[in-house]
Amino acid sequence: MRFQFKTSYDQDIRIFRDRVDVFWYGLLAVAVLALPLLLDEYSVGEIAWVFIYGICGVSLMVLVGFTGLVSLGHAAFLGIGAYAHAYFLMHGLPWVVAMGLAVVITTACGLIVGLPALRMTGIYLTIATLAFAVIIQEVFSRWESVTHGFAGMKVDKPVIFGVEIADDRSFYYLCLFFLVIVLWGTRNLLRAPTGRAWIAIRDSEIAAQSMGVHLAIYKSIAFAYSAGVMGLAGALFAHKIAYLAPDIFTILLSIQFLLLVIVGGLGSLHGAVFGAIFVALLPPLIAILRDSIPDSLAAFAASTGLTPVGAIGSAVGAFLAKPGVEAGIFGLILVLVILLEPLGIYGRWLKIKLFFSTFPMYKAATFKRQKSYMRSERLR
Amino acid sequence: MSLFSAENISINFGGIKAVDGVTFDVAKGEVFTIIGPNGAGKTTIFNLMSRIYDPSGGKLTFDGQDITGVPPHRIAALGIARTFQNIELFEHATLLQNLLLARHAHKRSNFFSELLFLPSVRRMEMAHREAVEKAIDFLDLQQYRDSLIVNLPYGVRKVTELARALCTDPKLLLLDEPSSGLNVEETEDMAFWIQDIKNLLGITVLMVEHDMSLVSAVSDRVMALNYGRPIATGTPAEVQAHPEVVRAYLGG
Repeated sequence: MRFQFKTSYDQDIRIFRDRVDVFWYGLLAVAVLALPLLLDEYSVGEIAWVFIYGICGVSLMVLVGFTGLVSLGHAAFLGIGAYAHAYFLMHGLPWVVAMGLAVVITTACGLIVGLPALRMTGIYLTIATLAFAVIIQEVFSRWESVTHGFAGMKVDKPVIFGVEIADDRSFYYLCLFFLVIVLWGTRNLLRAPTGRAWIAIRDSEIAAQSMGVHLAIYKSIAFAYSAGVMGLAGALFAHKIAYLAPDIFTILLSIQFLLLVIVGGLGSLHGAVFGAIFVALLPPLIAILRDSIPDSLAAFAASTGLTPVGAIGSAVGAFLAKPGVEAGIFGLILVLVILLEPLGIYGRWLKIKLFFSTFPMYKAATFKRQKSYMRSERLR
Repeated sequence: MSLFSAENISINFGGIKAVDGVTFDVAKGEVFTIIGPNGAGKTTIFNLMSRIYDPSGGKLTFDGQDITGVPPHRIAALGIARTFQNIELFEHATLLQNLLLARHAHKRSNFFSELLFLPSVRRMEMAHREAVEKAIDFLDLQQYRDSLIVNLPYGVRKVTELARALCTDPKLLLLDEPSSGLNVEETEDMAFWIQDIKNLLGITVLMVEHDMSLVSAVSDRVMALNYGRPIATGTPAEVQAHPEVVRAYLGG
């Protein structure tokens, strides 16, 4: 067991609690920095998705997980960021300026969409954001002078201060950089009055108000910040997919973001990253299994003479190749997570950590009472 | 001089007059209790004072200032803090975060300085923490500092809410049924704390309470309400013996 002795208030304020924390996060940093050198280009490209989804996850986590406002329209903010960034790049603005403008524009959109949030709660707000997303998707396809409609828009490789980020490895580091910045900024807000005000609004609006929190202002800030971060992710997203079309930013993408924060664990920044790993890496994992299971089982059947095993392998492969199976697996996992682990992957992570730190005295009852759902999930 | 005064305040919900022309004032440094049967309008008066409801008539004055039109989020900064009848804590936050939130009215930082967590924000956070630790020490909550509220027993939550109200540095503390749901021993502790709040911290207390033993132990003055109207005001003994009060509670 590890005991932490506190001798100053700063120990509760700083990001890394003690040297052990610094060690583990340092190790993680080294691993993440060294990963592109060890893996092939394709895998590095897939992991860059984790970082982009991680930024999206932080964005939605602020709104859903910390402020308790559920949005089904975040794909629209991603789209606005992506299109704005691509548009400004096409008109010859420097990369940094284009990205800055993309963030400013999405932040402004977030503020405007946040206005109804001051009046609506729960499911009604969710429906309003959904309507917004549908409208924006229509705008993407109709406003051809800017978005080129369904003809699409090509996005070149980023050129930052004259340096072209041409290969997937450099882009991986670019995405990582922005994810770290976003995580750091959000963590700062969360340990300051703004973040506490968000949490207060999530758990009890009436008490928050009585303690001096201006509900309208802090809900607006949450919406604007969430949208701005999404816009940043959108700019990276545009480079990653290299070709923008209106049918990318659909309601399904919004649902996927919501799934990300719920599976990751509502109310924690770790959850945003865990959820991003899950959402970004599950599809490639399914693809790998689809290709490898039939072959490996066929090889096993050939070597042992058990022909049914080979048949099972090809059946599993054919099943995984069917359209819609991926969405089905996502849905199934979402249902299981909500039923069995309301705090998501992060909740499981806490239990595993506690198991090792208190070994051999871990007791499951420690977490018994925590299986309560947050108010934002109950959609009061 | 009175710290708070309500002049002829009323509020209607549909056709029901929940509070009907109530006038009272709370002197600085006293414990003033409002009693009355269920539905008498006690909590409604609290909600009018913390500006969650707008009165349909009358005037509220606090510390020489008319607060009838002040928005609810400004009330804490003026120096009025409250607890709730059905605990309204931030359940999925730690006790420490709950208390730190109570310092919100005293924050001196803006969004961008918090985003970068400038040294000024860090200093402010430490100062807030110091204020919060005073309340933790005062109410003996040290061992629960880092627990989530959902994991705490009811009695501790009740005390936490009191601590949170104290963390706003109030001049006037509104306690809505501080003893509800507490056992006899916890109610006794609550009585001591209310006395300490009055005597040691010099905070004026206005409370709504049903437990007459607690009311008589700590109150300087009591007002009895029935159907939104005051029926008696005076010392606890006087009010308890008042024939109107007896009739309101027992009928007849």
